[in-house]
Amino acid sequence: MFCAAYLIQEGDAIVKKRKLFIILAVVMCLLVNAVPTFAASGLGDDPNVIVISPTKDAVMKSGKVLVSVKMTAPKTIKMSFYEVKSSSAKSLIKSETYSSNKNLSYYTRQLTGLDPGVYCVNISTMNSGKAIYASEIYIKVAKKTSNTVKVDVFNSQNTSTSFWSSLLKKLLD
Amino acid sequence: MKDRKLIVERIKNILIVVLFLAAILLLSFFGGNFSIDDLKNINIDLISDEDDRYQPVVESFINPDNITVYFGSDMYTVLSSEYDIDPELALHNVQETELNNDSEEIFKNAQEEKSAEAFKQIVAEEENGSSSDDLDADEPAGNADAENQNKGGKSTLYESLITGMEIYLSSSDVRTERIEKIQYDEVMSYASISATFKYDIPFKEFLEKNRLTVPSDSEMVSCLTSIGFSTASSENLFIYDGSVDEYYRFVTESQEKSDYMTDALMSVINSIEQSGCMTYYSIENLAGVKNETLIPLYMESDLKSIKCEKEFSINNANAVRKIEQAFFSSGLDFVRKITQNKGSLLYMYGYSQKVLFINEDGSINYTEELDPAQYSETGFYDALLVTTEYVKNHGGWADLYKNGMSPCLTEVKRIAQQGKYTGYSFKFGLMLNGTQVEYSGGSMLSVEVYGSQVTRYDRDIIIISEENSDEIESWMAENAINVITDEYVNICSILEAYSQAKGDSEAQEAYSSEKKFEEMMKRVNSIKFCFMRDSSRHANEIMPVWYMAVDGCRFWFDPVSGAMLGYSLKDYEQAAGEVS
Repeated sequence: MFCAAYLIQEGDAIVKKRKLFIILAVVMCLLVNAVPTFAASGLGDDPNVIVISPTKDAVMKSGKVLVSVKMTAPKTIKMSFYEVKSSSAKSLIKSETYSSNKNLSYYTRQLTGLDPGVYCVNISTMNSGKAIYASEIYIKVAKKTSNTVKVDVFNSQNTSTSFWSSLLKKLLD
Repeated sequence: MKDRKLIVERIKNILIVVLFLAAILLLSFFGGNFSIDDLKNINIDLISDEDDRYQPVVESFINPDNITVYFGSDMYTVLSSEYDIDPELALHNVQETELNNDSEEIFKNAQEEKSAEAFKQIVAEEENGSSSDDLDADEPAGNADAENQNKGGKSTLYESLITGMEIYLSSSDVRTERIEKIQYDEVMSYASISATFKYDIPFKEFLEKNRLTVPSDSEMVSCLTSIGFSTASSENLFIYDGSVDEYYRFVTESQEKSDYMTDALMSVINSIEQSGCMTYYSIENLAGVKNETLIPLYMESDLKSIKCEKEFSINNANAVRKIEQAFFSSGLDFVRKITQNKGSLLYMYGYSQKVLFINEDGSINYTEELDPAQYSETGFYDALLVTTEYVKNHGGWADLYKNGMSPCLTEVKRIAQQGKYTGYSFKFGLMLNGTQVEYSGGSMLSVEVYGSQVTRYDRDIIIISEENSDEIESWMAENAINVITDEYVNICSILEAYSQAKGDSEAQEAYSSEKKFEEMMKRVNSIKFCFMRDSSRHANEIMPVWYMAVDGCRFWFDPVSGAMLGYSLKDYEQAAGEVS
């Protein structure tokens, strides 16, 4: 009986340790995922500033990028557009400040003449000249090829299957 | 001496006679009912007799409202049907066997073919309607419409697209298939060109009038509303029929033609992209709201407000007399004429068999009872021919081609009376140097025709009173998207009241919700920069505005400040609002 009680106690301890270990692992995972965000800007996203375009990891094929930002409160934002060289070094291409005193407004800017490469769009919310929020989006500008894409959406028996497969093909290109 | 005196006396006699005649003329000029205005009117009558004979070719009105070019990466541009392209890039019809020859030889043959055709047209016109197969025998003499002729080596994009159609339609193996919208959207999401009309044109008539081959299995296509070409699916010509909301493709198995079209389309698209045309993005890309309506990213303009004048004044007796004679050619003996309070004139023949209003604002409204005895069903183009001829004889077309103006066909509807008589309603608008002029209420010219009889005719013409030749500095308009954000609360409250009046509770709820901006943006049909003639405020002026159509209602805004200037609600055209 004494042995059984001892064994039960040991079992409880092991279960508790397992639970503790699982909780610790989850917390570590969350922290690890949060590190790059904080490492990149140290600032969170402004809930009143939404980047409509470009979308994360978008690929542009024409050397032009549309930056469109929706502001749902009176704000001053700063748009900075960088070219990302190797080993995370960034070189600033364009920087612009935009202010609006309205509860709804859009900032739009098209950047042109971009060479193939990786770029970063940083939208910072400014307050007295200091950034208090920031969002960063990385995009890729691909080389425009002379080869035209061909799709075949008409010859498959299953229309929806051919549509989704061609869409996937387009995303992977 | 005596002879000399005789000569002097004779000279005096002659002088007296001359002076006497001059005195009589002067007296009649100043003393009688004779004024400078009468002289002016006489001159105008003399000149306008020449202009009154002008009748534009029916085909000159059948042009797409716009040509949309998609470059890829969510970028578009929107061009007019008159956009010129480099003739070397223009599509030309080649036979399948020729595609294997040297490309320069092909180009040279195509140019020669074009020149030969142009020469045949010129000869036929000089002979004033000869039996040349290339001329419509009904075309009036003196037609100087240059739009369908070779303009000194220039070629329009629309002409190229028509040629592109023939490349597919003339293929020996061409077949017609109905396709799904999802398939059409997929292929057009690659570099593509589409030309869209504001109305549905009977497909077979369109092909015949443009001298295109009519494939044997094309009966399934009732009307044409839009023509599409895609570089990603260049073995196909795409047709959209708006009358039944269906999509079709004309497919050829010829690999050579497909490759040729891919190269030709890409060349044209690249050339347009490099020309620096205005960039358009969809509402979805700009505002994050799902809607494929295109908006220009920026608007740099050199447009300015322009004074205009009415076509005629009701106080001009000669002008009124001309109108009376046009509508009641057998005289006013059996016509009751009533002058109304504001000075407008009402003419009634019989028991309202024919009713004519000449309004004090210089507009005309005419209605005529349908005569079943003379009714016969006519096609689209024949009905349009009846319309152009009618307008020629009732007011004329000449005033619409002055100072950079030109008329355009903006709406076509099928109409019916008594359940068995069908006809067409044609509405015409105005372009000024390629920019549309919108009316806040009504339309510039509206005609209802059944067979060979016109039963309704509304005419409200404004004439640009000065040559717009002054050099204007370009100026930047406020971004369209921010014009809408500035005024969306106002717009939504107007649309909410309108939805309530219509009994549309779903729309009413949408326009009053917290997400009213998004709900409104989802329903935007078009946004464009154009001229507006706001008859409630400045009837004698046209001004550049941002113009937006939402749910069939129209709003226009100051392009600099973004303030709303006015609106017009569908089905309540008289309820146009003036925004203070």
